[in-house]
Amino acid sequence: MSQQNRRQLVFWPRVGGAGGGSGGRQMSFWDGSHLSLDESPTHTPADEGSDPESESQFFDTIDKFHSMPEKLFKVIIIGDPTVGKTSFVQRYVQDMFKRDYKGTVGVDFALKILRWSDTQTVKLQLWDIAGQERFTWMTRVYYKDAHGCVIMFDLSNKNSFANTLKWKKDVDSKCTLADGSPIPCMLLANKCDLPNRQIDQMEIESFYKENNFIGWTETSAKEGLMVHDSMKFLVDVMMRQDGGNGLENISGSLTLKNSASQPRKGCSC
Amino acid sequence: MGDEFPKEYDVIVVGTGMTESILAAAASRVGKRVLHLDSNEYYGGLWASFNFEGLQQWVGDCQKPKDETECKADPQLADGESAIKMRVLNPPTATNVKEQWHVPEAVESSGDDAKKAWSQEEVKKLYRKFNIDLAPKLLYSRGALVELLISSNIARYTEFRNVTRVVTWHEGKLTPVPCSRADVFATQNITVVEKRMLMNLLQECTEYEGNPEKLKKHENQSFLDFLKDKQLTDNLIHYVLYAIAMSTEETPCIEGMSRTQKFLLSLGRYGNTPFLWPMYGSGEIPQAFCRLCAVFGGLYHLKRGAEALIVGSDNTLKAIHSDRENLKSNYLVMGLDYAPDSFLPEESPGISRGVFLIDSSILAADKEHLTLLEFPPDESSGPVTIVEVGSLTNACPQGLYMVHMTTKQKGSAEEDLMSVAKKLMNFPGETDESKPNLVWSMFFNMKDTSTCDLGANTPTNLFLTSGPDLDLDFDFAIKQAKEIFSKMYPEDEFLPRAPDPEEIILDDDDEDKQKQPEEKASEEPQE
Ligand SMILES: Nc1nc2c(ncn2[C@@H]2O[C@H](COP(=O)(O)OP(=O)(O)OP(=O)(O)O)[C@@H](O)[C@H]2O)c(=O)[nH]1
Ligand SMILES: [Mg+2]
Repeated sequence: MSQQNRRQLVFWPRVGGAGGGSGGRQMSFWDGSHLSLDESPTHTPADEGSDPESESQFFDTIDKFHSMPEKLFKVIIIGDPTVGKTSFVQRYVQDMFKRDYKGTVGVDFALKILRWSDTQTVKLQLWDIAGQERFTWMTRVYYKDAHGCVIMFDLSNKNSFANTLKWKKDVDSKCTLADGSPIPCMLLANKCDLPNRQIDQMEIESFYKENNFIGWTETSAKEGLMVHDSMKFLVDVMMRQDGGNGLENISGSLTLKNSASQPRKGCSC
Repeated sequence: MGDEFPKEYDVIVVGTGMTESILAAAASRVGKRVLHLDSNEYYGGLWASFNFEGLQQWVGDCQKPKDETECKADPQLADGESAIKMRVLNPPTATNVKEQWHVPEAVESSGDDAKKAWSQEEVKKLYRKFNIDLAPKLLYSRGALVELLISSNIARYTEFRNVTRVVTWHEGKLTPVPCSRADVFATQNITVVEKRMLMNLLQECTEYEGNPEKLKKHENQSFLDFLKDKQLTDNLIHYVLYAIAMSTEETPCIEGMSRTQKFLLSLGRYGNTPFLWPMYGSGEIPQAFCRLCAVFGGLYHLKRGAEALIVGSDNTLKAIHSDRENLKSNYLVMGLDYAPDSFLPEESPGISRGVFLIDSSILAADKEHLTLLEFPPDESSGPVTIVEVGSLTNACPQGLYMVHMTTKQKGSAEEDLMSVAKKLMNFPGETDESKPNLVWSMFFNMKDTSTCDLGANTPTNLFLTSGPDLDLDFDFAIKQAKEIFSKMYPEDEFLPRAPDPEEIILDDDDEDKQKQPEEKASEEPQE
């Protein structure tokens, strides 16, 4: 990966910025630790993202960076058209928001590198539905080897909320973690900056519990609200599940490579 | 979901089978505007893989009576245009579908019995652990699909497993066939003298291409006679003819040689047999091409087909009518199962398929094998291609094996395959300790349209694509896709390498540029 590439894809979250403190919003977690959500946000716009320190911090740590162990997670982001999936990814990865985002042709995922702790780097592959795959269910290829999932709906669009259940069923039927358990799914209620919300919070609250999401929160990709916090929550869960040691193939399976003539571990026959 | 749905395309593809998906990817990859439709809610059509529940639905769909009712579509037509109406329903074109359980609905848990007794309940409970192929296929390690997946970089969406043994049926029992040099030396099934003979023969087969002279004299010979001329023992003739060349007694020498060569060339690239099996089943492969198509901007819509085709007076297709809209396109690619009857070839041969769930391997060993068995022809059946897969490929839950049988259709699938099935497994009531017990089975027939002339009755810019063929590999679909692509876009490269994500630089203004692919992927799933 080139320097330039890194510079533009990497964004460091503000130190201590996570944890549900900003703007009085909190996430609802399956362990019931936080159930309250503040109706009236008191945030400043983009209060999570545009930290001027981030770039310099990145360059400070670039050398250390190489010696840190890395975790790699694949996270898939699904939900109905126009709920804000791409905007969310853009906000999270590049800290920007555009009214109209055209999918980048030819890329599968955006890469986000997190310095999780002094000794731990986390790489996230964020798989957005390719611009035009949105009128359809996803191929299993898209779900393959995912460690975590974000299912998003638009608070101003009731139908998109109803459809999250279909998306959840689609994920659960097409992939599981290596141990056979369902992959952790987080429910995000986007566009919370808009005034005309259509879905009652209590409804979402009972819905996420009934349908085995790991948690839910309201977000605004536009204002940058709860974008980093929600992702931090998901990464936390994935870390605890002890996956992420690379996107590992099931032992003994092959990925075709140009050079290949080497049999791989587990299939020495 | 109908917002901003474009009305004009370079290529509309109807059906997500193998050839259609390759074409969709190829067109999208070189910047064409592609719309890809499938009236099913799953990918792959007759190439699909299903979990157990999905398969039940498919069986249900097959058993719906064929409905020839035309769509009520009433598209707007310009001067000289006419509309060809499509069928309302397009159930899968499989026939003679017969699904059957061979174990009780439920069993009392029998404590510490040596062999687990399966029940219907238990299998159904594990429905998600199945990937059952309608059209199971293998890849030759140096075959056209492996090369295409690598050169196009679609390989990053796929995962494979080696076939770990090639087995044959000889003198009333199953025996592993030594096929690599190491195998030949390690095997105890043949004598030292035979080993030398076999090595020499295999050597000769790999060299024949450079020696056209040498082959001249075998031109009118069968491969069997050629092998007999070599003074090979019956044992070896059997191995080479049936297991390695996958031939019959009638196969001409040159064809037998070239089949042997194909087998040998693919040896040793990834493992000790020449074959790879797609993880999660063959249905993954068309989906990998669909993903590439979407990533390059192809538009996907499942559960949507075409209600009518709009054809101009010059016998070219102008548009399709879909979901009350006319969608214009320069080309239409359509899976044969969608084609209106007027486009269909007269008669096509058929394929007989059997799928069997059994409680241990057909040839027990100390580890799980992925097995290929070419069952030689006899009085009651033609050669049958058999692939046995286990839980390591995610074909079925642990403790079970799935056996796929494929042969040329003569009668119904059940008639064509029953005698071979009986030789390999215990049906209810039978208790041969050396054989696995049958848990569940399914038979069906489908058409083999790979030999038909599909262009005969169609508008000039409409290309029909065939369904699964009888061959072991995917090569036919690739060949067909390449041919159609070069008719549509003779100037364009067929599936040039797609860049890896880390080769793409996102500029601040979102314009993406591609860096020279100087470095290898580091983000690809790796060991
Ligand atoms: N007000 C508001 N608008 C948003 C927010 N997030 C996204 N949008 C807008 O919603 C529209 C759709 O956003 P996208 O990010 O393209 O949505 P998407 O889910 O990627 O949509 P598809 O790619 O079509 O499936 C755009 O006009 C965005 O500007 C948000 O948090 N608040
Ligand atoms: Mg998007």
